[in-house]
Amino acid sequence: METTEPLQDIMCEFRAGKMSREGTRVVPDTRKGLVRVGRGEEGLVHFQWLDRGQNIVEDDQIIFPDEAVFEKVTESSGRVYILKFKHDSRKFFFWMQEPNADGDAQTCMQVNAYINRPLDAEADLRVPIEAEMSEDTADDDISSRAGNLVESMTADLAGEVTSAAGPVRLEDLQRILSAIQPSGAASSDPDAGLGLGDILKPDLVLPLIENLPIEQLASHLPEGSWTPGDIVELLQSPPLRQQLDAFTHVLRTGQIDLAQFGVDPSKYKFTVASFLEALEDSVGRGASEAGDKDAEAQRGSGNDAMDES
Amino acid sequence: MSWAAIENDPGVFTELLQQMQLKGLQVDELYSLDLDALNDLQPIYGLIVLYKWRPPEKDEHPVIKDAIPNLFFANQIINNACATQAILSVLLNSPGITLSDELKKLKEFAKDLPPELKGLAIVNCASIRMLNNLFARSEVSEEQKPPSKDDDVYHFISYVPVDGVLYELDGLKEGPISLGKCPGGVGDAGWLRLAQPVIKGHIDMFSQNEVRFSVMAILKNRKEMYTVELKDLQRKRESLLQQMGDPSATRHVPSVEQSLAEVAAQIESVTEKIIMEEEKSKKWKMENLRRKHNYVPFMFNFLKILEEKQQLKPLIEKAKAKQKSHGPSTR
Repeated sequence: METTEPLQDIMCEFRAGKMSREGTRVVPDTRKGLVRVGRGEEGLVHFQWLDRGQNIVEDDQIIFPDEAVFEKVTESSGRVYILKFKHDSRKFFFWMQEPNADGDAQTCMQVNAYINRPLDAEADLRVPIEAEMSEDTADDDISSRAGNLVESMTADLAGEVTSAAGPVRLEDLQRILSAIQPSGAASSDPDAGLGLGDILKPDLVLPLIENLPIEQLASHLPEGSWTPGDIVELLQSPPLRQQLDAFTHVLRTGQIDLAQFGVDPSKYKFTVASFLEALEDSVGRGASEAGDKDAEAQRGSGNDAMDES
Repeated sequence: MSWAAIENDPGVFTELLQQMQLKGLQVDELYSLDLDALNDLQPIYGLIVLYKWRPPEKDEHPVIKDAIPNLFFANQIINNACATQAILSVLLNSPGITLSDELKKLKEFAKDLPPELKGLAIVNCASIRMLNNLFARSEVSEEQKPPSKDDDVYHFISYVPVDGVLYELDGLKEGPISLGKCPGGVGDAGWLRLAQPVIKGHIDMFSQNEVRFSVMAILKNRKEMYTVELKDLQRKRESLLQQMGDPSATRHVPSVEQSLAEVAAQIESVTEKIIMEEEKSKKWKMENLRRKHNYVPFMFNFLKILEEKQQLKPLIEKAKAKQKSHGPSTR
């Protein structure tokens, strides 16, 4: 296979996996990928797909203005997109791998803007007459059927393609999370050290979550059932990230009454670290008190256990 | 009393409309400006482009300085009110939308004021401000978050047909801009055809300057429309079935069968669309709940159980190590 020349000018790129057609079904390729739209040395717009793990360009096509559209597949509730050619039956499906779906619409608009941008102001190759609307209903049929199949495929791989629709499986989340770059949502003051956002990072918490008694957190969370995977997902959501930053800021500026947390303020010195130490102390105190009670309870229940059947 | 920043999210805007007593409407984010895709969403009352930037002044089209009858154009005065004001710019210019009493009062009160005073009237409207603030990010971040240079730069441009002319309403300009005649008005593709290239031009500029943007449309509630369509189709199917079963009918059987098949396919398609809208609605509801939630008790208790399981210290060490290896995070 020829090696692809690197693009002269990258217009946009985003993390997305590709999908392949097998007969009448559309199957996601689980590899981490990247869609890159850019201008080649010859001045034409390229639409490429890269395998992110190998960092090699696997697919590369040249797209002329008004030749193709990039749109969301409406028949699927997942983040599935299609690159569709207007004058032939070529269709390429992709699934978004960017952690935050909020940017999807903008990305979609931008890709369309780039692949349809006139090549050169002087050499105006824009087709003056608008491309005819497709009257080929058979074409539409395949497109919508493919959309349905993508949807069922998506459902089969619950958690693989989308996390918004249902509970996320931990192992899928791990794969998705490992693609996330370190969050830029750092504390405003780099000298002050670690913020809560740095400590409660989803990828750091992920390995621990299964062993934590998260049922104790249920009353502090919005309504609904919360699996360990849901909590890790929550940790990367914008509202929570913002509040972690804000809480960090509040701890550093002392705008907080620690008594509400049952924490002895004597150790707290306007840093996240000292707050966590104070927290440790209060937990330690609680544990040693409970420990005595526990020991008694255990001795007590030891006898009862034998009577239970 | 101040205006709180709200998230530029169609779920937030749709619920804001519900709270404003405008239940028959929804806001959807657009992924494509393709005319066919847009026509499928009709009736579209207006299009809104939201963007996070202050572009250099560039007057391609002349701004209309005189007041235009029936056109409500207000200047954007407060940045946090941006999104709500963008929505109002469409609501207050759409005869097809039945306004709440509050909005009627606002429109009546401000209709003869110049643009800056119209803007002032909006930001001083306590009831609207209160509704906007319902969607404020939770208390913790509101007052105490350090202002970043990212805040306070959202702007909007609305596109709405009024009296057969398509107007571009940019709250930062002195007046509205006419983009041409579109006799059909809302529901007709004419104004969309005029708006499309102009919006594409903006998107090109945003893309070149790495500006965050989104394009939204104010639509009629889709689920209601699809439900009406479904009922019609079901009635059609009933009458076709009757024709099939009626021995005295002289209808050509194969064509009735074909019609039945078509109707069945349409019913399936509309039903799926209804399901999609319901899913979207559920997702938005959940996101809105999560947005409003104060996570401080959760955060504190999470740290506490980490400590109880003696996982907090190791986690802190790992975080420190990560920070060292990646260097100070920048964005």
